[in-house]
Amino acid sequence: MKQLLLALRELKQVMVQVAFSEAIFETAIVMLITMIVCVLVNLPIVWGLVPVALFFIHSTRSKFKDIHLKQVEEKYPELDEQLRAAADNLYRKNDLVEALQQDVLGLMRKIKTSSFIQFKKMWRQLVIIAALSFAVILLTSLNMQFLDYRIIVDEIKDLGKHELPNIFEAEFAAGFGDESDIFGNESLAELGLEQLDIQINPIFSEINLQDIREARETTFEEGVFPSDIEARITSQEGGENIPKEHKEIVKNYFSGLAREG
Amino acid sequence: MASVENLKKTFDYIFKEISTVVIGQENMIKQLMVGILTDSNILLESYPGLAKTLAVKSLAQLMDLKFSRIQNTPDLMPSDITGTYILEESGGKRGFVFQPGPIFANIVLADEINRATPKTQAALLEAMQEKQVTVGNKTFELDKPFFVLATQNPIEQEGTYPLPEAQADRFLLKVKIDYPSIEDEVKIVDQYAESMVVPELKPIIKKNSILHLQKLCRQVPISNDLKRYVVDLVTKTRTKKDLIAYGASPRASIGLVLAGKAYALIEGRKFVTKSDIHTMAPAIFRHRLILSFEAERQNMDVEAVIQSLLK
Repeated sequence: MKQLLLALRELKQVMVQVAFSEAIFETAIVMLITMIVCVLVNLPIVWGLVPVALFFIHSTRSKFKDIHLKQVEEKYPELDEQLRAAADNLYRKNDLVEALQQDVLGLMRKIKTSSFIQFKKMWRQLVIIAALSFAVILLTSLNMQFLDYRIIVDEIKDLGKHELPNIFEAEFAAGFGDESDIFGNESLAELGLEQLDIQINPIFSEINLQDIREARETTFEEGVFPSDIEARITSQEGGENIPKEHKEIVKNYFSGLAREG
Repeated sequence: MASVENLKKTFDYIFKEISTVVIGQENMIKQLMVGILTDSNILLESYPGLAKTLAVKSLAQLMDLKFSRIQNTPDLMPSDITGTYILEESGGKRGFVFQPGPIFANIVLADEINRATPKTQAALLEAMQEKQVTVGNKTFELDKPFFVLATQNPIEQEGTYPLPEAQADRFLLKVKIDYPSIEDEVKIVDQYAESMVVPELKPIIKKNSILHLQKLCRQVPISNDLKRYVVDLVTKTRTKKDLIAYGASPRASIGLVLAGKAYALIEGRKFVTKSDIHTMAPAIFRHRLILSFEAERQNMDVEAVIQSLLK
């Protein structure tokens, strides 16, 4: 009886380990999918861990619940029904029960741990995990986003604040119909006061992050302006540099014109 | 203890021996053995001439048990079964001495039980249930093992007193005997039309061994899942109102588990399987279910309803 008890305990332990590893694999897939979603909607990854944790608890619980000796009997038909009969009558003492326990113990020696592992399923899960991991790396390196959850949240908030009564007000808010007020919507005017979070997408900027080198030393000649600036200053001064006698003639010419007009 | 494998050999030998006398009724013989192992009683339903009496008599011979037969008629009195006190003179003294009736045997065949009056039926059923007989103010224990096989004729219903459901419930099994196959019937004709001598059977097991087997039968382990399955099955007979007006009682649950154990032992197994339960279920449910009008409308008999339950 004691031997069978130990054998049953060991068997259950193996089944628990297999169920736990299955739950971990499934949770890994769910976690990677959640990470992808988080990256795509710019959600903090920490938030994504909440559903992952819930899934893990649920998956582990349901898998542990499913642990039953019938699973063993399905894998080893020669043990069919007698394994459960022996296990359920473990503490009964009579000749028949003891004989059955001996038989079951002998048959249980054939049980292999590997028979509980679904290699096909595990292989499929591993492939999925690898593919999803690559997807996560790719999405993060390209900083790809379909939408930003903060924008959606802001829009939802704004929708609640500014309920527009009619179409004219909507046009006004958009800046059409009244050109005198270029700000249009008051909320847009206020934007100037708010802090702007600007993110520079490395893929579309001209800064090459890979090209890192020492700063180039440059010597500047003080007081020397570029020739085109000097030319412009000269031409402006030239406009003002009219001889006094010529100034008088020009003045008289324009005064005459004024009188005639 | 003899190993279960040896037990199977013994049972196989019994069945082989009995098949030399009763041809082509293996299923009936196995079910009779289930009744003996479970220390229960059996209701046999068959058309006349299907070797019921011969089978029971042969079984009694093989097990070295005392056999008696009661032919039930409407004028049969309870005392005709149980026995009565008769005036006897011994040593110059006269006194009442109990004369035991045919019930004082190990295997009793109550032929056409539905022909007896309810009062006589009740006397027989009391003996079946209590394994004792009360005559006057004295109670007599019946010899163990005690096993009643009652037969019912399904075709003649006139002038009969069909067993009420409550009384039919006291029989563990209702065994239906079918006609033998053509090949078996040819063998029967060969054996009994050519020779007048019925083969003599020698006892194979003794009374004490049967009592030990009855004890062993109850020890056969059964899984909790299977017990629950049996209870679910019996409960289903009570909840399936569309087909069954009255279902089986918890006595059926006990009986089905017990019959499953006995069948497993006969098959040489140390544990009960679902197939044992399925094999014994029709005999357990057959006399315990009262079908609804809907079942009749659908042209379903009790066998069809039981099969639908077992699906």
